[in-house]
Amino acid sequence: MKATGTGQQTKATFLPLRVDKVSRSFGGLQAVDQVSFTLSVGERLAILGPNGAGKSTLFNLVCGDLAADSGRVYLRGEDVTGLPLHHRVRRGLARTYQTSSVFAGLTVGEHLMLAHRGPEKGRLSLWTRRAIQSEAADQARNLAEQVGLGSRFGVQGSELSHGELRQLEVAMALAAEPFIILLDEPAAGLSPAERERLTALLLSLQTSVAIVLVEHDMDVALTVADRVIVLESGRLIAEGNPEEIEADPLVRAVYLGEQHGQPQESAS
Amino acid sequence: MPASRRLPAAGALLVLIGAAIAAVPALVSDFVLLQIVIKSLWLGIAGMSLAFLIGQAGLISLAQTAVFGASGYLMAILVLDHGLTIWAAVAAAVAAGPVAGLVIGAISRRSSDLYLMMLTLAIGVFTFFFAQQYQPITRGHTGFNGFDAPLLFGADLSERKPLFYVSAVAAVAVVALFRLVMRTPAGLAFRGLRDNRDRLQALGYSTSATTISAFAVSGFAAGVGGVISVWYNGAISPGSIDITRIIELLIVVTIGGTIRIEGAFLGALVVTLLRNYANEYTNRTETLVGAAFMAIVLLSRHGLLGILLNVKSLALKALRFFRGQRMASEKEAVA
Repeated sequence: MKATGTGQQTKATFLPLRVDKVSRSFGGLQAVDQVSFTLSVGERLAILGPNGAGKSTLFNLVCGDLAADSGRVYLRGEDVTGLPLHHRVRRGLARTYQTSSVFAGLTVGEHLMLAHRGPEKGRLSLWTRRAIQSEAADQARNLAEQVGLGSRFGVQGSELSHGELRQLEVAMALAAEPFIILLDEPAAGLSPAERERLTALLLSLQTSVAIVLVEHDMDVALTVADRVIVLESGRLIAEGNPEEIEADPLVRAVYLGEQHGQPQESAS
Repeated sequence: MPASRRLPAAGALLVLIGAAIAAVPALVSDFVLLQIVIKSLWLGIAGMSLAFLIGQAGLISLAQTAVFGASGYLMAILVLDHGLTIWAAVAAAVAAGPVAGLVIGAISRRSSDLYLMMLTLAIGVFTFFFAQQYQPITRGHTGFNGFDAPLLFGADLSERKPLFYVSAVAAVAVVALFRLVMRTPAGLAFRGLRDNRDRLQALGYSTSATTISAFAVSGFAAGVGGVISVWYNGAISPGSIDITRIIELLIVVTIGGTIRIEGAFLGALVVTLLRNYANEYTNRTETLVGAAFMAIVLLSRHGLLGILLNVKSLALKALRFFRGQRMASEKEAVA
């Protein structure tokens, strides 16, 4: 993994992610309002909230797709507030997209190799040694196996099903060997069986990787997450472990009550 | 596949290509060799720079004639106005291709699609006007005439056969180089740029840097094409890089198809054939070129090469089908 300047030891003492009072408005709408949270090594954090609560905006502020009006974002202690997405990716952040966004003409294997090289210096190299090339191909194949795309290794992006595209999204994030992964509704549009497989995959990930998850599906979110933050109208209204969040009356009122409808299901 | 098994196959392919190249002058008339074959080769090499940009990186550039002209003009200027030895000028001109590509890429690094086309069109047209109007350097609208092609190992490249051999070897070398590049990390990044710019950025790549690299790589072919064209014509003038040449390159690439870089040679061959022979039947040659262009665009999304590849895959399917039937009937006979 990438270590800049002071080396791994100092890096390890910093939190993977620290978000400090970030705000962002669109016109008159305060989409994210002074939100702060941190993420420790290997932690799985879910961001919940009803539609329009600011989840996606917060997500994009963290990964750099959107610029914050105020507040700061730190990756491993480094202030990355002004850096665009691809510079944050080079520092060890990976993100997935809510609507699968892949390369129609590249095979699954090529997707993974492309993603793997993204944070590396030689990403645009006009020269590679064959040994390195085949090592990268082996790694990509292992990863494809791990996410259940082993048999689709040579298939082009345009030929994949919706479920497979979701798996590929997660695999591409993993291929970059990040220390933090941001997953934007990874379970969107999946069948119950696919959702179960995705949950199992997320649970099986190494604990060295921290995960931030924006997810509509409560079952996936609460199974995967160690900790949950709940947004409403751009503000952070609750924070805690999944049990606490489920029991929180305020959360039930603004989110579970409206969105879930069946409290007994979420309590199970 | 391990390298050891791959090498003999590559060697065999090279021998085959070498034999084919060696045979061509014996098979065609001198007129065809000069007017069709050699012309198609350098036009194809120049076209390949555009086919590479479009097919591999999704960048539609109308400035490849500017690169072509930069190399051709540089060689002529260095030899005729500065008395440089020919091969030093050739080396400088070939190197100028990627450099010119780099500059064009740097200017257009943030653009794509229609805006990229407009920006590169402006660069292409600007280069034409520069060549036409900046007399002290470019000799204005007459350009450079009487350029003598060099000697190579005693063979005079202003003769047909030596020029053919050198052009053919250059074509094979440029194809091989592009194919090598396509297998490097940069080659994969170019295809990523073609398919999904935003996603490529989200993987840590700078789309600007990727665009600039693609233009630089493609510039190599345009530069080599420019150099050989000056040997072939013995001249270069603003007419070599005007708007009709920009359109010609587009037609070459569209007719040939960008699905493989080699399609440019097919397109160049068709255009050259039409230009040379159509006037025996009609005096509306350009109309015919235009009609051929439209017919192929309407018939195939990937040009002539797309049609050929379709025919090939159909033939393979048919072969497999018949083989399967034969095996089935043999099995029946055994049973």
